Amino acid sequence: MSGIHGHKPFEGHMHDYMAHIKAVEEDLEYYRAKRFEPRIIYLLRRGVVTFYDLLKVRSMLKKKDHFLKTAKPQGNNIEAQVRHLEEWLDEYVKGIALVSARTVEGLDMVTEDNRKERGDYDDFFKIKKKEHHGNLEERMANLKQDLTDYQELLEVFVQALIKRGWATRADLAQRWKQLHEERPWAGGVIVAKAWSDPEFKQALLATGREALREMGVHQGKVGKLVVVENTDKIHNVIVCTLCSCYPYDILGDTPWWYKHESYRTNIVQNPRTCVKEMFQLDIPVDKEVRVWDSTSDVRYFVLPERPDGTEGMSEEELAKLVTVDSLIGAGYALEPSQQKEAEKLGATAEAPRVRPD
Amino acid sequence: METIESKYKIGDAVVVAAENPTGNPRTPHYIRGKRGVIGLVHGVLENVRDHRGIHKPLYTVRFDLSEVSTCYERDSIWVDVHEEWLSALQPEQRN
Repeated sequence: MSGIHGHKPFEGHMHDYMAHIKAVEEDLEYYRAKRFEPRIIYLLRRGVVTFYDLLKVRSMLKKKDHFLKTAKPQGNNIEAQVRHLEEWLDEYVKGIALVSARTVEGLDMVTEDNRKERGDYDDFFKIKKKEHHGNLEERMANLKQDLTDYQELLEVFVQALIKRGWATRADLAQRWKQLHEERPWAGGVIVAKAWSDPEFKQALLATGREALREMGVHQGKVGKLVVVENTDKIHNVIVCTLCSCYPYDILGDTPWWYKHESYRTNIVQNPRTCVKEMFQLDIPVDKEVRVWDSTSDVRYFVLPERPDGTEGMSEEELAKLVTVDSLIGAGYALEPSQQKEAEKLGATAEAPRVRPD
Repeated sequence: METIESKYKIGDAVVVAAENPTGNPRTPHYIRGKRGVIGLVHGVLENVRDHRGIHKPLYTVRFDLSEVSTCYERDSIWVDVHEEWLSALQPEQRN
């Protein structure tokens, strides 16, 4: 494996606050305009919930019944304020997961209808995303206001589902708790096992879902899973050019750029330049780049190459080398020295990213 | 359920319809009218959460990057396409 690593070195502290804020803005608008509001509209159209339910719930809502809680920043410095907004966004995204399709199981609804109605195939139906302007301070103040507003509507919507009897408070409370449980990230566990156990690797590459079921990984609604292996001849990259399909149920959320239009357009037009510009990844000329566009019921992830210098490491240690980016093909798994350095700096596994446009 | 046979096999040369208004909408524009080769055969995947009814068999079709863009590298784009969008590549379409 090449010694060139795709990322900027991990940073213990944020250096570029604006980049963090822009990432929160992007993600927040994505989740509001594509994942949450189309869902309300979908249910309003069908009378599952009405505007009047929302109004009534809003006027009767008591703070003690809230699912979504607003935390306070851990300090007055700017870094603490930025982290606070990032964590607030996380809470909002978890709130949307709380009212995902599972909640209204009794209804005859399918994701495909929602995709049509939210404009995946026709821009005419798209909910407009907000544009952000201003200096850092202004943008942070705006984000705070947006998060307050968006969270309030989400909270009211959750409560309306309960009021209309589509979900019970107890079930949602249980689910809410699960959404906040910390568990080892499945991506790292799966890849480390594949690096260590050739038989499992074969099974994973041949029939992904079945192999994961045997190791007890929760797979949710992933229809068919295809795992593509990076080798010294092939570098794989994953995209969904139509929306942002990804095996979320197994691997959790994607980095924000995965859903960004510039990535989704450029990666199939000029893959090498795209990964070079966005991720500083220089793919050797003797490797074939394969881009996988998950346009239907198949979900993909990349099995990255095992880094050098990892002989004799346990699966638990190996799992720490696996990054989200390496499962998409936007990076390589970390070498042990890079991982150690990141740990020493107290850095999380998310390197700050250059905004792609 | 009646089993639906997949019409194509791995390695078959195919061409994607330029348009197909009644077909599954999840065929992106950049591969429409383009030539590719069957890379994976998935058959009929049931996915009741995602869509109503049963879609035609699904394939992953391999396209040369040069077929779908202006790049000339030997890289490739692999896209999931349902059978009603595909037809066998005819000799005169090979160039």
